[in-house]
Amino acid sequence: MTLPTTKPVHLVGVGVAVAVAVLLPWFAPNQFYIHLATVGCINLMLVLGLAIIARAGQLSMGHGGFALVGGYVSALLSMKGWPPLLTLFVAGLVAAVIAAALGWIILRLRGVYFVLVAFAFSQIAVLLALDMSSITGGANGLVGVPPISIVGYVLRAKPQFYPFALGCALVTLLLTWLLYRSPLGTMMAATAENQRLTESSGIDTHRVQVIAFTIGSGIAGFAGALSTHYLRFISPDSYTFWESVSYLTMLVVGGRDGVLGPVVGVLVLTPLPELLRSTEGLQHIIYGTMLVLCLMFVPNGLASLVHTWRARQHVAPANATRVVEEVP
Amino acid sequence: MSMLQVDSLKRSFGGLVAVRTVSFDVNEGDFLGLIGPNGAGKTTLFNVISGVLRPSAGTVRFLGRDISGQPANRTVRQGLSRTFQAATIYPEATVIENAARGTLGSNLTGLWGGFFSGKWRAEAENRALHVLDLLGLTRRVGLKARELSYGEQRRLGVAIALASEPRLLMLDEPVAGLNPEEAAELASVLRRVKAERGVTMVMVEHHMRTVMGLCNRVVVLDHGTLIAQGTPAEVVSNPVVIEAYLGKEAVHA
Repeated sequence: MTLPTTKPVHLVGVGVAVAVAVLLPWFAPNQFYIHLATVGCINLMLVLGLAIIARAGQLSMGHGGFALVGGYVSALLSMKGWPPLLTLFVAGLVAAVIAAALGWIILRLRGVYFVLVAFAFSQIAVLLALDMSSITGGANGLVGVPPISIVGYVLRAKPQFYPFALGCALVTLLLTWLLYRSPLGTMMAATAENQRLTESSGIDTHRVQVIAFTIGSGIAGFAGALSTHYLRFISPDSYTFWESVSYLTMLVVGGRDGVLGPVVGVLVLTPLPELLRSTEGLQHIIYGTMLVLCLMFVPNGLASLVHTWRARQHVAPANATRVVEEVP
Repeated sequence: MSMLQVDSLKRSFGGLVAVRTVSFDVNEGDFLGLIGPNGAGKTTLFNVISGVLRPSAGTVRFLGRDISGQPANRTVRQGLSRTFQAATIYPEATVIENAARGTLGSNLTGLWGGFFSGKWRAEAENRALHVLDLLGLTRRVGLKARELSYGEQRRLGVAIALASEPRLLMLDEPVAGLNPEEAAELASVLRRVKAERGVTMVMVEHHMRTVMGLCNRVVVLDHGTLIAQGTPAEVVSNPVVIEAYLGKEAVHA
């Protein structure tokens, strides 16, 4: 009643989607498609992180900042000789710890103030990467970041890296789904919908929001590190304010409810700029127009179309039973 | 046994003293009415007791523990829940989800539990169904809360508060804005809740018929000061109370 129970139809749908994603390298016309799919997997993790923060009722405009921190941490440690498979997790952990400390202070700020401070954090992260050039290489960034290797198997080429990125994205997706169903996820949703009432139900809503911010930013740190080991390069330009905005756009266009929204948002918006590239100068205009149209006509995101359609199918029988019940 | 002890409680906002040195007790099993003219400081007093506002001075003790100034969420977990004046619900969630969210503070699994098992949800929904049944909302469980009538939304607000299984429930103007039928219905629901759950209740209310019909004791506030307390019959015939409500002439008339 409260959750769409996992019906066989849903399981089949998820199974088909996963199968298509896994088999992609076999029917992709060229490596560019695999590259795009890998970027999509990394984007999906970042957007899921943002979705978890939004689930608890906050918008993070500094999401790219945490990805940048994660990318640099993992790059620097692996260049010192640490195994990249380990540094990925260290990167996520460092981002999470920063988020927890920052969140404890700034999540007392409501709404627009939180947005501004999170934005300022991402700008500071970029400036630090630029200024601490003895460590970070300044504007040139870090070149030659070691590739990820799993028990001697080095993920250097695109078709080798893609399955790993897909695996990470799917695990993140599964964990997010489990989180949303858990008591903690329910507390997050309740906090976002009515913070005062949630507080009066005995829940420390500030703590819930800090935890959501920590988890979401930790995922961003991990994803930023993953991307760095994929591209073998990171610079202050890798995650600027515009990346933060684009994750937010994917989340809003796809939908903020559930895990389907981020998936749809990433699937639509990751390849879109590439598809529009042939229109030369018009691509930004078309991209912008599509966003505006989406916000006007599907304000709850493309994924909400599924719910609307499903609800429409249920309306008739539901009304019928209600009428019957009213009769004494 | 006295469950809640309010001792010389004071709260001011800048130069405005909303509540000045108010003391009273709530005994176990009481249905206490807190009345007074507009601006008497009833809601402020309510907010200070439930932890939404900090007291400027004085103490609040609940079940023998000092709860003054502690965050509202901890007070709720110790067994003191409250409702709000306006319909305070989760509009986009279903009725059963609304009531089930009321159980979240009572630690069915702990913060990190319930990841791989749906047992907590069954337990939460089971408890939610009980309170919804008590409040006559059983037939509405599948609807979204915003689809309910205003009267039903007010009852849902009480259901959410009750789902946390409080020992003391504080109701902030539960019948305000309801029509006479809805008010009477809510009053009978509250009476039933009290009988079946044995919850001690405190109610801020303007609607005198509801107060007279439900409460065994009444505390009267005026200009932030406690001016009278006693049974409803004693209070309505008290000249000080009549003066506060109607002015001096009414007493002599």
